[in-house]
Amino acid sequence: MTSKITRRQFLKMLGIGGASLIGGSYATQLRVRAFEEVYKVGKESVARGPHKYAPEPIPGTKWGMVIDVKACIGCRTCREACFRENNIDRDASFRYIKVLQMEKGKIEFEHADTDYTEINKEEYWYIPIQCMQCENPPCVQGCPVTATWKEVDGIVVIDYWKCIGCRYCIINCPYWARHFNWKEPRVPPEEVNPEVPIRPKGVVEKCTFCIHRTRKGREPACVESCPVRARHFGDLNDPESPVSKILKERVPFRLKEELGTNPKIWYVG
Amino acid sequence: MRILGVELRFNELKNAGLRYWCFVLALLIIIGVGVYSYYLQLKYGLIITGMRDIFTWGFYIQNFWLFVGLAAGGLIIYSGVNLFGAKQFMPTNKIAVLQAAVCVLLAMLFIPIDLGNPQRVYYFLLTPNFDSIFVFDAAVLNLYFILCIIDLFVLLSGRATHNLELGLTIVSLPTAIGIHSITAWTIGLAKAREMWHTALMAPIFISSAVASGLALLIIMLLIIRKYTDEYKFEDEMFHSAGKLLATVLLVDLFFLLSEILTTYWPYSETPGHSMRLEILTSGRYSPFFLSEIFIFGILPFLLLWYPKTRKNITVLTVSSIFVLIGVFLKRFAFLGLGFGINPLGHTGVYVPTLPELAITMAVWAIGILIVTISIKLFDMKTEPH
Repeated sequence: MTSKITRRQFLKMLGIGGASLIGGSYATQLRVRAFEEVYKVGKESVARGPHKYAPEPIPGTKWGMVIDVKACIGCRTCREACFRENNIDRDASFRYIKVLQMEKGKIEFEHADTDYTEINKEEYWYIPIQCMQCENPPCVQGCPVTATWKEVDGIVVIDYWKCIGCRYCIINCPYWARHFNWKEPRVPPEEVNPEVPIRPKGVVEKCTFCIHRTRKGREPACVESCPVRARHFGDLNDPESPVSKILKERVPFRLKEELGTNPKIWYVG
Repeated sequence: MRILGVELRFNELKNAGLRYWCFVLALLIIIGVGVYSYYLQLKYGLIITGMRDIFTWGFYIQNFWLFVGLAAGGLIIYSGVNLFGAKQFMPTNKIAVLQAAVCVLLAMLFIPIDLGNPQRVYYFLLTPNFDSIFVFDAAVLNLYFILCIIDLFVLLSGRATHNLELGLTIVSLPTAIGIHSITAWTIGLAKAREMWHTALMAPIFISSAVASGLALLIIMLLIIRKYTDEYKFEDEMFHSAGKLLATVLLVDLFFLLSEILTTYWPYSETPGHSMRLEILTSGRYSPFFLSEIFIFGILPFLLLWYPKTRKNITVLTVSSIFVLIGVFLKRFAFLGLGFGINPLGHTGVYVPTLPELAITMAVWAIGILIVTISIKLFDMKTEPH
């Protein structure tokens, strides 16, 4: 005896099949979208889509900086150039670059001064500090939601549209390079640099080695603005680049070497 | 009325007096003010709090640490009953587990409150970073909350058998230890902050957590005994709880001594460490820290250590309150150690603002409200089985 399927049963099966097909494809679509957002967009380059702002990395590069603390006069021109270049909140109490004034013969952060008024004093030396773009960045390891990562050219970036604002990366940064937007940043429209996105409130931001400039072959704003040419920037993989040359010729040191963060800013004295 | 075997005593609520409902109303008003303050915080950002660039975490995280700690005490008493046959604590079973559940809930509430972008919190599930201990902290807190609810359900629905309770304890006790350890490690594993980067962080969190949890349980039981007619707890039970509290305090003080010694001993001292601890011992926050050690640490320990004073219920109450205040101050001391001087040597100052306090008060009120309602709605008494 053959079993017959009634029309009613057939329609029912059709309905169930159709519903699961639509549901399934919708779920797949969602998953694909999530995948794109998370992996392609999130991991490989600074977030694209509505917040695309960074050019693609130049293949084979590894950016580094050398700062000549013997030449540095502590004028803080780099700090202010960076402030304007990166659309930092005009009311912010932070700058990406901190210039510490220390007594000659001493390296003591705790006794350093950042609010000095007279520059280029005989009895002091000056050291600018900013994000070191560590090869082994504790801030990236600490971020609970993978909203910050190290790019292939070594620049540590933040997805401002993903950061939940827990500020755990600030705690994990030994160089105090990261800063939080406690409110909606205010930048006068005529002063906005269109190449750099203005961050929303409640996210962390920091120095990006001027990713929008350096990936197009220009120097970061701090390097360009330095009146005594104390800052040098270039590709560490290229033996002919200014940084590689200086590192070969002079004796460098790095900050907090003992923490194993492997920073990519060297100082030479 | 019974739902899933849990008796809901709406009659008790109906018969509750005016005093009870006035109390509930007061709590609701506090919650309302807090919710409005939180709305302001969402609108204007965390600028309305006292937290700033150098002092990046504040009152919210201090409370988060406190409540994670308070969540332990109850469960540790409950485990004592099941694992070690501490029969004298049997009548507190349900209340102890309720305390654990409510406290861990409040602790978890403080996390989204502290976030700059709480609406993105789903990224914890979408793209968790397993290098970050923060992810494990979130996971273990949620697990602990679920376990507490299961425990509570088993106890309230009368399904509890000795073996089932034993089984649940064996799962939830390590989780209780886990929430403290992992919460402590969120700061203890940060190599960037010298004073936090110590292996002692987890043990010291656990010891002060248990002390504060026990103290809260004692206070709560005393209040319930005083203001309700149906709950009766023996004096002997409070005496042994007091003894336990004294022991835990001793351990806690020992850990503190160990940390201070490591920081200040001549050939152990490093400037980075001693400079940061000096903020607490002789600097800006020294009134908090010194009173935390002497008035809210050593004094209650001595009072609870001597049998004569321990057996006085008033002394026990005051000591428990002191212990709670002490642990609260200690959580602030931890903040000061990490943020008082930042890794570049800049000094940070922190004073909580009014909206911040209002939001925190509201979270506290939510917890007290849940307990207030639960005491009437559920039968929290435990008969030995």
